Amino acid sequence: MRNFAAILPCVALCACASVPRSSRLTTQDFTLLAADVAAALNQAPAIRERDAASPRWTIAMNKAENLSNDLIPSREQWALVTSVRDHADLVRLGREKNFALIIPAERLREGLASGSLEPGTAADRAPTHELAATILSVSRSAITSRADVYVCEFRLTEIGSGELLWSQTFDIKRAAHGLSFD
Amino acid sequence: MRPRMNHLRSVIVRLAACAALGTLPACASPRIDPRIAAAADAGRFGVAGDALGASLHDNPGDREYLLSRVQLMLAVLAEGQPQAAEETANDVYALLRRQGLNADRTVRSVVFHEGVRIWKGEPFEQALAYSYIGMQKAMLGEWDNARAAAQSSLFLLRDFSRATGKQNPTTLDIARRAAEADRADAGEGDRLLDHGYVAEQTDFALGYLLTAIASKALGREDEASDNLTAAARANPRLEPLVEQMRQRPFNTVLFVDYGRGPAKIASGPDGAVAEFLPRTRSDDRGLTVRVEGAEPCTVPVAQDVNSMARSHRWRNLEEVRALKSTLGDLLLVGGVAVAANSRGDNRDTQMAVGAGMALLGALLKAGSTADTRHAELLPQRTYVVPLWLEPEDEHQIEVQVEGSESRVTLASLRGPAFPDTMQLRYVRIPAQPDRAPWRSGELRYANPRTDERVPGDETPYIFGGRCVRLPDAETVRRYHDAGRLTNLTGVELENLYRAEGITLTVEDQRGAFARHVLDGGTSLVAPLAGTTGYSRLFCGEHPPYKPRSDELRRAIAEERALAGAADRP
Repeated sequence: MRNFAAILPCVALCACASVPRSSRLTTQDFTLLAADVAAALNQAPAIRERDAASPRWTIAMNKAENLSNDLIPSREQWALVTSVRDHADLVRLGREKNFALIIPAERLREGLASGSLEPGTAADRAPTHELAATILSVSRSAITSRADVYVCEFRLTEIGSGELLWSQTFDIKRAAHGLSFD
Repeated sequence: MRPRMNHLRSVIVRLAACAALGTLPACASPRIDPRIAAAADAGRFGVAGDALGASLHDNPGDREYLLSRVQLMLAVLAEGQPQAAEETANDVYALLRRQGLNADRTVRSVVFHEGVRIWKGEPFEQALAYSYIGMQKAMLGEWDNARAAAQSSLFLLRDFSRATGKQNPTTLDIARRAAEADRADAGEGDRLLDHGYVAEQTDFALGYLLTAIASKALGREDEASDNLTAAARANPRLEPLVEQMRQRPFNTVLFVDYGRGPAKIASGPDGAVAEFLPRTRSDDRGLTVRVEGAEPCTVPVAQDVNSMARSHRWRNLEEVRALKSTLGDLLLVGGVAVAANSRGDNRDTQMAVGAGMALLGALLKAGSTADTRHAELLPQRTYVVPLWLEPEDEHQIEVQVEGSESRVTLASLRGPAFPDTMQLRYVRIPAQPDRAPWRSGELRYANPRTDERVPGDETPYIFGGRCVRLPDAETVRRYHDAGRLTNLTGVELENLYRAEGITLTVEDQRGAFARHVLDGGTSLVAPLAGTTGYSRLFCGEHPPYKPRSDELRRAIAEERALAGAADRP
C-alpha cells in the first residue's frame, strides 16, 4: 500500500508540472522586444538630434531575417516588424522627429501579387532609410535540458549613402527542460 | 530474500494500482487507412491529403496529434502544395521542439505499453520530419527558415557500441545489457542508458545537403561548403555530387523521394521488441535525370531510410527502457518463484508469488507489445538533384530510378524569376508506377502556373472546358476573346465558383489543404510546377465537372443557348 501511495503524488506532480518545455521565441518575446527597440531608438544619437523640423525620413522595415537555429514562422517574422512599427512610443517619436515607418517592399509585392492591395498602392513610397532586423542564436543542449540565447540585431541605414546610422543588439535567453527525443 | 520479496510486492502493487486506475491500454497500434496508403502508392497524394486532413486530431494532448500531422505534411508536400502545408509544418516543428512531451506519461508507459505515449517518432523519423519542414520552407522561398529546420535535423546521436561490446547493437542487445547491469547493481541499468553512450555527430547526409543548399541560397558560402563536406563524410557515395555542387552553378534543386519507408512491427517474445522491416529494398541504383536539350545525368542515393531505421543510433531509448523493465521483472519473478518453491515453508508467500506471477504474466502479455506506430508515408530513399534552369523557358524534366519503370515527368518548370535566387521542388515518385498514367508530362489543362495553351482552354473546367486558371482579368479576357462566357464578368464568374463551394486561395481554405476540383475536390489552388502533384493533376485526364449549384447550372444553360444562337446562320 505504501508503494501505491507513493505513485500518486508522483503522477500528480508530473501532471501539474509547469516547467518550460520549449526554448523557442514566442510572440510575447516579440512584443517585449518591440518596446526595447522603440526605447533604444529614442536614445540613438541619429534620432535624438532630430526634431519636427528636420528633413522627413521614410523608413522601410523589411521582414526580420532569421539566422537562428530555430524556425520562426513567416507570420511571426512579420509580427516582429509590425510590433516595432506600430509601437506607440515609436509612432509618437516619429511625429516628434519627423520620420515615418512604411510598408515593407516585400509585403507590398506580396499584396499586389495576391490582389489584397490595390494596384498603385504606395506607388510613391520612396524610402530614404531602412530598418533591418536579423535574429541569430546560440544553443546548448544536454540530455534533459536546452538553452538558447537569441541575439536580435537591428540596423538603421541611410539608403542613399549606405551609411549605418544606428545598430544595437538585444538578447533573449530561453531554457527548457525534458528529454529532447521525448 | 527479503529485498527480493519487497521488490516483488512492489511490482504487484504497481501493476494492481495501474490496472485499478484503468490505465491498461489496448495493444493494437492504429494504422493509416489502407485506402489512404493505396492512394499515396498510386501517386494520388491529393486524395490522401484530403482524407488525412479530415481525420486530423485536434487536441495537442492526443497520442496521434503529431503523427497525424507528419503524415498530412508528407502527403500535401508530395501534392506540390507547400503553402497549404504551412500550418501543419509549423505545428509539427513546435511539437518536435517541445521537450519532455511524455514526461507525465512515463510511469505507466514504461511499465506497460509504449502506445499510451504521445507519438514523437524515433529520432530518425524526427530528423526526417525536420528535413521535410525545411523543404516546405524552401519551396516557399523561405531559405532562412529552411536552414533553421534543416539544422534542427542535425542533432547528436547516441552510440552504445562500446557499452555493449558490439559493433551494431540492436535494441534488444542494449536492453539486455542494461537489465544485466540492473541485476548486478540496482539502478545501474538506467545509468548505462543515461550515460553509457558516446555522443556522436549525426550521419544524416540529407540534413547536411539541405543545410548546405539553404546556406548557399542565403549567400553563406562558407557554411554551405562545410555542410557539403559533412554530407560527403556521412555518405561517401555523394562525393561526385558534392563536387558538382561546388564546381557548377545551380539555381534549382529537386529532392526526389522513392519507395516505401520501412514498416515498424512488433517481434520477439510477446511482440515486445519493435523492429523496422524494409518495404522497398535498399540498393545503389541512382536517379537518372533528363532535361530537354541537355545530356542525361545520374545522381546517387543521398539518404537511405531503411539503414537509418536499422541503426540503434537512430532509435529511441524509451523503447529500450521498457524492454529492460520487462526483462528485469521477468528475471525477478523467476528468481523469487524458484526460491519460494525450494523452501516450501510459507504457504502465504507461495500464494502471493503465484498470484503475483499470474497477474504480472497476464499484464506483461497484454501490455508489453511494442508500440508500432510510425510515419508510414516516409520514403525508402531520397535523391538530391542540382540543376540550372533558364527562367525564360518552361522545362520538362524526367526523373527515373535506374533500371526501373519508376519515373515522373515534371512539367512547366522554369528557373527562378530573379537572378541569384534558388528554388527547391519536392518530388515523390509513386511507389506503384503502373497506376500512374499521367507520366508523359504532356499538359492537358491550362492552369495558373504556366502560360502554355491547351486545346479546350477557352472554357473553364466547371463549364466543361479545360481551364483551371483563377478567374482573374487576363483569364476572363481569354474566354471572351474566344467568344465564350461573354455574358459573364470576372466577378460574376468568381461568384459562380463560390456558389459551387470552390476555394480560390489557401486563405479561403483557412490555411489548410483542400483537394483540387480536377480531383473531385473543392479547390482551385494549383500545385507548384515541377512537382508530382502538378503532373498528375494537369497532365492526367479527369472526368468532366458535375455542377452542384443551381447558379452554375443556369449559367451553363445560358452559355449553351448563346453558343447555339451564335452558331445559327
